[in-house]
Amino acid sequence: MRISTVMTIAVVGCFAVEAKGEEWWEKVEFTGFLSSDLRYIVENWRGAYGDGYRFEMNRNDLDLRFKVEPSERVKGVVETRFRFFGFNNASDIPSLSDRAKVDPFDVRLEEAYLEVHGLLWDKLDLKAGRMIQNWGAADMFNPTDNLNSRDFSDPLDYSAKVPNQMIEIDLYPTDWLQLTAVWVPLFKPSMLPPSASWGFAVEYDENGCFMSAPTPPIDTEPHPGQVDENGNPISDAQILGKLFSTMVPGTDPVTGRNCKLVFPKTEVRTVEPEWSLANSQAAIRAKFRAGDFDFALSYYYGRFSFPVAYTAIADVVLPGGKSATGFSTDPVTIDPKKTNVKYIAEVTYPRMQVVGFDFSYTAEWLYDVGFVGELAVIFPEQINFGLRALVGGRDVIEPMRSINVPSTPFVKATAGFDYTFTSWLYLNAMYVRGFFDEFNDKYGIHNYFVAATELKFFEDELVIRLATALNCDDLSANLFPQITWIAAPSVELQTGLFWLFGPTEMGDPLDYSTRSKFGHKAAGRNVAFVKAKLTW
Amino acid sequence: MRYCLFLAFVVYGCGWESDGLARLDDLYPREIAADIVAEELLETDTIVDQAGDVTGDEPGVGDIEGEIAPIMTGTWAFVAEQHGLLFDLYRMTINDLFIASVTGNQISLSFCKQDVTFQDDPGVGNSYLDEKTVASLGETSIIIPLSNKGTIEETTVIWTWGINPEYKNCPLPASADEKAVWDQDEDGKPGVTVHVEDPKGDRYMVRRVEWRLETGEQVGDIQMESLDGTLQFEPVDCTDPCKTKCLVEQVALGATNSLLMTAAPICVDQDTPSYWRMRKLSESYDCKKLKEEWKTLFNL
Repeated sequence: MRISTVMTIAVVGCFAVEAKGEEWWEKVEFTGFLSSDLRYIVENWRGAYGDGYRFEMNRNDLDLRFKVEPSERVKGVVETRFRFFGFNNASDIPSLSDRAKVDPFDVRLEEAYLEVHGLLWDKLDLKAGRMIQNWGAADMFNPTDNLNSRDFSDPLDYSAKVPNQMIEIDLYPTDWLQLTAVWVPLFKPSMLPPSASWGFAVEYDENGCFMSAPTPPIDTEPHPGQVDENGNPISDAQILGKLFSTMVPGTDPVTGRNCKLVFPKTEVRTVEPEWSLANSQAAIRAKFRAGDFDFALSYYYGRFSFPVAYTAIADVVLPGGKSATGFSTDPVTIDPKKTNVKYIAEVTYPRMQVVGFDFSYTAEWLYDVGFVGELAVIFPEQINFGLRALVGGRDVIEPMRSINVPSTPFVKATAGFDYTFTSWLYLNAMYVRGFFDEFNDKYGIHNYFVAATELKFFEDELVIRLATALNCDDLSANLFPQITWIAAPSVELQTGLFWLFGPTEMGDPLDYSTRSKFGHKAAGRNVAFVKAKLTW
Repeated sequence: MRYCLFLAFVVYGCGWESDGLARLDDLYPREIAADIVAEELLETDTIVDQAGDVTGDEPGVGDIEGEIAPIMTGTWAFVAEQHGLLFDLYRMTINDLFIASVTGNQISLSFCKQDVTFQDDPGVGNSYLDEKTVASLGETSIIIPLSNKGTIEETTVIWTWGINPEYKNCPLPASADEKAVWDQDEDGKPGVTVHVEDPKGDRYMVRRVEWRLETGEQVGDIQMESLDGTLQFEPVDCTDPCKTKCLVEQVALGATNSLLMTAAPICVDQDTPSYWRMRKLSESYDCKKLKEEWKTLFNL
């Protein structure tokens, strides 16, 4: 049994033992769920050439949450999840004796914290440990909610977060004001879906011929005085395109494909912040209540949890070039008959400060429509993207630097409403400025329309939900219809489809900003799914 | 107080910047710019620094100065434009044309055509090679190494006809039965067969030229497009009666006509410089096209 599992049981057991004696079961709340999730990819054009029409997920989760209140002032929460992935990883005979290979799983500690009410002062609470914070008033799209990174490892779940250790202090000086301060010692990045690697992937066709390479965020406008041999202005992007087309023999001028070009071992590395005090995160919030109007002001100091392009180096060995030393940047066996390119990209997590405002208001005078809004003014760290191209270990163009993220403050926001029209019809609609992973880099900040409508039948036993997100700038979108049936008390059976609309290719292969938000392969696959869930 | 604290944080955050290019330079140190011959290779009057500010005069060809190693990879046409004096008297031009393949750190020349013209017709000495002979000569490539910087620097090239490669630096053989002799065109005759028009017949000969390619004028920025340089001659062993220097060494090993046993001396024309030239071509360019277009291509 894994050490983490043993420790989880021990922690829970300690709480139980501590609470014994006085109707201990009354002090322990045990909740959780058991779920199965089976997904099938229903296309073959959003992955590697020809890949599709296969199972993508076969997952079982067991979530156990214990809340213990040994006294009125003290609470402890432990939530752990066992995840079984359902795919065999054994690829040789010895592995067939290893249950972990044949039936891989992991154990996650989602939350583990203690809470003390009235610490030193009856209006002061302390919370410490591993937890998930939920700031902001809007549904899911919360630009003021930055303490926990997002867990997008499941592309159908936008609400999951990565838990982190933190210390929280809450003050309740009045009944209409709550002050909160949180300190997070160590930064954790957001988890990305498996398709995220397509954002940096090199693509080949059915014959193994090169089709496209990742587009770096370099300037598409010429720098002052930057001209070509004919005296015409030329941008960094055009220089790179010219280098590529003239340097690499065998490129088809019409299709751009090249059967004599190979990118062995493309890497995307993350540049993590050091574990120093300066790289910890902190936030403060003042939450107000004024009748039906709740609003909050917040400030966050920390880092953006999604990766931002930082560097790229293309290390080229031409046909017939020396293979004894391999690449300059990494010794790798190369194909001497082809042009070999070792492409290493790096991403980083920029520092930022965020000043936020959020509100929620239920308009009793307007049929109880609920309005929510959030506004975050982000002061980012400037990120200069650097690119070099080497041939035979030497730079063949002037190294390029472009400002990928300018230091200019920018705004992300959400505004929306939700309303239950009748007992069987519900609507939630929002305008979102800036998706989760957007940080005013070369891709920019885009505008979105997000909506979900629910039709409920048989006293909410059957729910048909249709959700969608539309990028108003490039008109790509996703569509997420689901049918949920409460087959028995606490049992949900669900089926649905997740579909992405938009071109998979870049509008301009040399312009980073022309990527389709939901069309690009990095956004994920089109899947059909069935789920079963028991909750207690 | 809270307002001051807020301002303190904001001010502290101003000026945050991470530079990806500086990081790349730390991870993969660049060679010093002086080692890379951008300024020798590019005709540029404008210097553009990394901030994009112009610090020079009017723009010229290849405006981006700095650490650039121009790329020569690909297919080129090569011509050795040699000016000589037949019998040390009659001005002549020999254009030896090659298809050059540049890969890695060398140029590989494959012979395509020889064109000989005279300013004044000497009445004798006109000769030509047949297609089979040209093809045979083309099968043995001449290798020109590139410098560590990927460019042509002053280099010596020896090109032989009908001589075994291991004897290329030795005195030319005097008879057909010497080991140095190679029936390169595989016609059963020693050496290479040259057809002579006046007097009419065939000469079986061995031949050597030694060219000294001097660093030339190069045009193009990222990808080289044309190269031109002066050509000098460094005969290994020249006993002909040229007052100056012989342009080519040749010995006849046999002939269909005894009058053809003596090859006419070709001396270097000191008054007319000789050149080597290269022009960048597409991948699909071949010897057939070069034969048709070489005059236009090289403006000769």
